Amino acid sequence: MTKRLGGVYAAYLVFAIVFFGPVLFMLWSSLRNNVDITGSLFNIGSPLTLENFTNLFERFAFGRYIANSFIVAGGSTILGLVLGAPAAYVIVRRKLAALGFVTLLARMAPGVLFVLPLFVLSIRIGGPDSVALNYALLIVAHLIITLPLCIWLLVPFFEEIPISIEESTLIDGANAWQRFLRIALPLALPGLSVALTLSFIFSWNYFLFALALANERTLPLTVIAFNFIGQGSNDFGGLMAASTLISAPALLLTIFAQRWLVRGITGGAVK
Amino acid sequence: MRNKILSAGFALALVGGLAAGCGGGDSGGSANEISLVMSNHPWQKAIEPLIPEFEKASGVKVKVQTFAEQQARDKISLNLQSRSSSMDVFMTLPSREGLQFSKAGYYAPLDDYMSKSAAYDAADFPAAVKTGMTIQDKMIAAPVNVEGVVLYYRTDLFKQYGITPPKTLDELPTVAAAIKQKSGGKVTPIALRGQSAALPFTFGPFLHSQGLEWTKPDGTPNFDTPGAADAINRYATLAKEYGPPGVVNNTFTQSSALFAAGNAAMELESSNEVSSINDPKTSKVVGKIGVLDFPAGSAGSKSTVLNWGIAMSSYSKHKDAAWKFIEWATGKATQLKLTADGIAPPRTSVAQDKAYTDTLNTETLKEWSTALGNVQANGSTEVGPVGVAAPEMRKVVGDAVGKVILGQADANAAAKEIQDGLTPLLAKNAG
Amino acid sequence: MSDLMTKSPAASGSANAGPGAGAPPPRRRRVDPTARGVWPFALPAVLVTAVLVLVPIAYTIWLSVSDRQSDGTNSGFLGFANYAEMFDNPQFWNSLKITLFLFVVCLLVETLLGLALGYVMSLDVPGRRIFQGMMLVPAITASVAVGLVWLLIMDPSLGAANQILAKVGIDPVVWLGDPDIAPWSIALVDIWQWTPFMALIISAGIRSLPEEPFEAAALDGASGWRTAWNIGLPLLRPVLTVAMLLRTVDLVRFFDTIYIMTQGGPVNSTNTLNVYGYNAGFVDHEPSYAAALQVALLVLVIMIAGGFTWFRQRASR
Repeated sequence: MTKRLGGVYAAYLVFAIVFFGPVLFMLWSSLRNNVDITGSLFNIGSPLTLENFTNLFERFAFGRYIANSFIVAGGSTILGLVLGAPAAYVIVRRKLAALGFVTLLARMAPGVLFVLPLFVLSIRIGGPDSVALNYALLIVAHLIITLPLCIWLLVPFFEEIPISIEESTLIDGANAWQRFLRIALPLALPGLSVALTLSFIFSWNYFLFALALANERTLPLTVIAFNFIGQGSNDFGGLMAASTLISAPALLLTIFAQRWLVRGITGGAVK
Repeated sequence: MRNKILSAGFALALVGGLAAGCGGGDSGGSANEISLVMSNHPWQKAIEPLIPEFEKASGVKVKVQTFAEQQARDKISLNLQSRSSSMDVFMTLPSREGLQFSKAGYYAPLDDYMSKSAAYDAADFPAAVKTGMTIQDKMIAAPVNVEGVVLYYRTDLFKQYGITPPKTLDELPTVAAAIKQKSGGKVTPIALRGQSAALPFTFGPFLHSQGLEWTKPDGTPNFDTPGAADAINRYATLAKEYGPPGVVNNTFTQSSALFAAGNAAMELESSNEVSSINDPKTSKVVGKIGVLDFPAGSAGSKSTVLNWGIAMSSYSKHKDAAWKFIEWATGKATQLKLTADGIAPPRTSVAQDKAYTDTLNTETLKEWSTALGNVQANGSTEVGPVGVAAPEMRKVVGDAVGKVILGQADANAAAKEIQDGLTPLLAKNAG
Repeated sequence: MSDLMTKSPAASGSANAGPGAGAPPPRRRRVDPTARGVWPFALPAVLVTAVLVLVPIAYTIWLSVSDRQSDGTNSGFLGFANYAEMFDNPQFWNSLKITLFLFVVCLLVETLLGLALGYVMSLDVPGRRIFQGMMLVPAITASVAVGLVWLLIMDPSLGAANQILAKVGIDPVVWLGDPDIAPWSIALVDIWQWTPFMALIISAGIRSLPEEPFEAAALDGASGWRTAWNIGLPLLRPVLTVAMLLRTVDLVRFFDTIYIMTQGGPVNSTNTLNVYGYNAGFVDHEPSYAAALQVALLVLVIMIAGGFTWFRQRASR
């Protein structure tokens, strides 16, 4: 048995180096000086500094970019849940697989396809000039990411609810909406947590729509990350610090919400 | 119940917005507000902190958006392709997209604005600079900087190896070979561009210095002349034998990172790169950098000269405010201020201003300034073949030279590939 | 996690229809009374989807058969000229080839490696949760960060990858600087990012397998490998196909890391259909031709995903 345990931990070590090594490299590089990052990888003793991070906030309005990312990812996640949960319920109760398919077209279509139409819509309604409208547009655009995801993640959870529980309420004369709100939704609460976590992350991670639609006040973190490398500037430290900040929600949620993440990723495939 | 009403209301609002949008035009903000899209660039970094001064003096509010070069192009092209009035001023590279944008009607010509402004003094820009900003007799952008291909080298390494810096194209491979041999292959002799879209900028001087142009006077490609294959061969040999590994994916980023890390003895790059390789925060070789003219060929040292410009979108609804900004940003006073951040001024009067020349106080910067002067005096403004399909044409050139670097083709085959590839693309200029 | 094998047919039908493509669930014998009056709940989602997804798709289809110029004017219906141009263009076929190459290589390696990693992750040993947490990170890190970090790692002269290879005496690899190597390097990044995702699904699948068949096989004295191949794999197939389908949809649309790392180069060697379409629209300013490429890509995704679903349903019958 101990021999087997040793084998498992050896495999753990190999996989951890391969799959977690680059993440560690990013975290470490974000704390190193530029001249050390492009120097030797094996110079483990090189000094560590928080300068890359403090620079981000001094040179850019990084606090605002972070806030924008939260607004867009949070808004589109909540809206995705509000719209997606009832839809998932309907798909399960009425076996509307076709509806599921249509929402999945959003997952199949290349993101670039949406950029020009969304941009044209945005300028037609004055999106670039109004901060509030711009946030709204970004949130709605990110629904393309979050809505299919929410529906797909919630369907298995609604399926787990035994029909008998709802049938018992039919006698009380509860209408469909009451049944959904009072019975189905609370029972699908774990599913909502799962959808919330994963939608948030995928919306947070997406950069293409924000690049097209955001104005100077609403720009989120992901779009800014590119700005460290350019003509006459090779700020690898800043780049790695920005990448770390972009990955922060993923890293934090891994620590604090691992259960929801794992259920979310595996939920649709394995019940 | 509230949820349902809210969400239904939202959906309706969205549909309504779409419907209304199809009929309505865009509002475009208030008249004293302009939106500026900039590309990550030394000039952008230098001007951004000065913009509040302009806002205060002029009463025009400037909304600034800065992106990395590729993302800036995406954003600018989206705005222009959809005739958006929400971008008033943008950074542009006339040598690259000038004809393409001009033909699509994206630029608002600046000639009238410039001639009406007494203080602006457009005559202060050297003729070559103005030519670069002029498409079909119209000034489509105001120049913000000057840059060009120069050869950086490591003074300490050259001294250590006892090598003289190369003065001619013929010497260049010899010098590179000596470095390779004396460093035991540890130091990359020369860092240069290999990425296809970026390559023509540094490849062009190999043509021009041998007295060749991209195109013949009749507008057809010039790659069926024997000298063209020779230029391709020189560039590709340099990259293949003496360039860094993986050179075909390299552009200024990789080349400068390599040079700044102390791993390359020479770097063939834009004069702009001095701000990263000469910055102690990102470079290990500060104080050990020499700057040379592009090595001379049979026609002398003919580098590529490049000007970034700022242009006014023809869809802007605040053209007067936009001009106020352009006038300020490319005026004498501002350009002099920008020199403090190492922005080479396109204006003659600024370039000769003592306040500027006094800042060139190290050997590196003095040599840099001399090399840049030569770039401006003799360089070609044609970064790549000129035409409406310029970006595509640069890829044709870059891909073909790339194949020679990789050993997949010889220089003659590449020249033929370029000739054949450019012919239909250049023909688009006529149409 | 309910038992995979005892799941009701109706439930598995529509659960799998989630990511898959329109599997009509088996009809129930009696009308479900709880289904009455629920359909309006789906209305907001349907409307939003229609506006957000179908309108842009319809608009793109229109663009692809009309002649929108770079200045935003459109001279109207053109027929299929853009498609004809596309099929005539060798770059289209090259891009299709690269797209399919990345699809096949990544899917194959991610599945095989995912099976190995998934098996390791499914074992009940102390520290499993911490390990699982570490494996989660690549799958949920933003592509922007992934691309930028790997760009630095894969720098041929300064990057970490070649420094490590040099330590063990292997010559430096020009990861992104050689058209023959770059597609593999891009595949490597994708495999790094998404194998753990596959493994998570597979490990959950393994943990939900019934124990009886394995116990029976052990009694018969079958070897571990034989049991895994003959009993484990067939039982895992439904889970595997869903996971593969999810990756398929993303892989055929390969874009993010290429946009960040190579923009399609060197010498077009990583120019997937999606990247090609992007370049046509935003670099070459040919919106209608770009639209034709987008439509072709959408059709390809639907075809491959649909084919996958069809194959899966046929196999499960």
